[in-house]
Amino acid sequence: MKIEPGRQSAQDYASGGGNGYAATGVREPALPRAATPADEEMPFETMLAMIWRNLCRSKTAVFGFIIVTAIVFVALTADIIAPYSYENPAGGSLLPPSLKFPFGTDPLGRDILTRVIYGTRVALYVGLGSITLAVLLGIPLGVCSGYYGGWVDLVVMRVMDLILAFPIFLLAIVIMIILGPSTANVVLALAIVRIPIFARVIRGSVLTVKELDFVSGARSVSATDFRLLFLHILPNCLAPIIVTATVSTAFAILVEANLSFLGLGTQPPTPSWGFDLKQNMTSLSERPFIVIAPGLAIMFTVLGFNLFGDGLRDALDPRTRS
Amino acid sequence: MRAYVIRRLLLLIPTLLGITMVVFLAIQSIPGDPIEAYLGQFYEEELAASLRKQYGLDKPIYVQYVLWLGRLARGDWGKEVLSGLPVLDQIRERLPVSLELIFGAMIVALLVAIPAGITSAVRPYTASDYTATTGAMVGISVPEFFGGILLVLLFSLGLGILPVQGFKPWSQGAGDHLAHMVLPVLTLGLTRGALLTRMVRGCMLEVVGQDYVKTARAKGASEFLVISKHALKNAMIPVITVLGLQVGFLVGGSIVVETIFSVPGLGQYGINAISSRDYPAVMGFILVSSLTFVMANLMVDLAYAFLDPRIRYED
Repeated sequence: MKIEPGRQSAQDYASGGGNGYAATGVREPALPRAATPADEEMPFETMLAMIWRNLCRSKTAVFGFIIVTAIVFVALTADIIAPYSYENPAGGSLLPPSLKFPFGTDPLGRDILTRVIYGTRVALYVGLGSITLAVLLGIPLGVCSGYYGGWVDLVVMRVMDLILAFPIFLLAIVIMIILGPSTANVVLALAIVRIPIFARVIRGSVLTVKELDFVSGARSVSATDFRLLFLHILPNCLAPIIVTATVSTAFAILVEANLSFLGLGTQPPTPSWGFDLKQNMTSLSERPFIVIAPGLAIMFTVLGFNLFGDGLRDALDPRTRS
Repeated sequence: MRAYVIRRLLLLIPTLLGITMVVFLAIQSIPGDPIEAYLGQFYEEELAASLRKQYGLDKPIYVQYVLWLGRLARGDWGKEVLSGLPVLDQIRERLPVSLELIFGAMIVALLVAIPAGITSAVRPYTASDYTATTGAMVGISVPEFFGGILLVLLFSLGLGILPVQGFKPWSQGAGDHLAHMVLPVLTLGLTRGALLTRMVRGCMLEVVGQDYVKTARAKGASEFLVISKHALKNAMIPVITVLGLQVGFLVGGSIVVETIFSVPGLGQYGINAISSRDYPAVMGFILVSSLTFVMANLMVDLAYAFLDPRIRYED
């Protein structure tokens, strides 16, 4: 049926796309119709602003964000703000805190504050590096598993189950034994143990999203699998990935500290909070304060990412949106 | 229920095969040829070949795996490189210490998490709730080794009421043994308790808002009865699942805690074996630690089916 603009009759409405309101001459209520397209066409910037507004509503999330920003700032400017060299002794061994050495010196005479400042680099390198790697490897696995199903799903998910059959920390230790201790290998080991988490999260989201109407719509205009996956499905699975990634960063930093504490992670003289704590612990009874600075550094960094992740979860969760 | 238990037990077989396969491949992929390491830099090729044949190293890798599984099943877990003692005996001696630590920590975690989580959830967004949630958040962010050191600073070096580190077996007196175990158990338990507290709070909040809890209140049941009898049971179901997952972290955490406090458990054994490159011992450590995790998960799954009558697992 060919309809000329402006000449639609009541009969056309009744027989075709009418919704009952038009036929009876009553104006369609504005709200339900206006809400849907506005939601879908919301510009990216507006969405970001909304997430940001939600995030700012929680004091703890803001606190977390400030910590994370501060850590990143310290890591970037370590060469400028650190008072001494992290490798060479700056004074006598095991000096008490003073104006010159705010946290004292370690058993090798190095300034503890300087070591803590440079420690942010290893923490961020491991935290962000391993999670980026895990996301980059986990997304294709999870997407293929969820989208194609069948034997692809079966094989991928059984391998992921096998990885998850080990306690995470133990598996990280096993990988470090094979690869040998170094910071780069910690990044790799933590990425491997974290891949199943991302693959599962993404698979779950893809399973939900791929049944939605807009995907069938895209498929009906013969979009390729690649286009469907990366332009239509993946952007709709981003929220859980971002939240999982933030919380996983906290976890990765914690595990690096633990591995280095056991001597399986970052090797000296590179400053790592975990290793420094282990080394300073030998002088615990003479100078109890020397373990406090690296310990607090780990605690606040992990706390920052955890709080930020918690806040993001609330901000991105549609149920808590206003 | 019985069918579920049987199916769950059958599921153990592929899991165990998978774990042994990963451990076998891991040990295989450690750089270095054991025969070359044994013979030194200069050796005759014929001698090396005959040794390879003797130990079955000339066979394809899957045959080696099956042979190795057979040896494991017969209790031949190899000998420590340095001492020559059988690995399985060493592990048998140390496993109870680790299990005591893990079990104790689990109880501490529950003793902290259940009251704290409930108080939090029953009066949400009050001072007591904020205290509990802040404490839990900080607790999650403290690594075990730092928490342990802080406890040592407070109780051992500060107050002087508990030993700094070391271990006394039960045979040397229960009091002495327990005094040495208090700090390791607390260290491990409090960190895990922090995470569980959040979990208990979340589950409790969800359950308290449900209709059947309102009904119980409307019938005039006391608040204590409503919470402890009606709400807690349902709230505990997801908590138990999380507890099962926590066992993995307890096994991992026990490695660190045993190192800090010089507790002669499986974890300390493993770390020593790793630093002295004693691979038969390393293998035993990895295998038994993973088995502990798998068995704990099995128990949690069975407890889960037992606790929640809605779950009948009859698909």
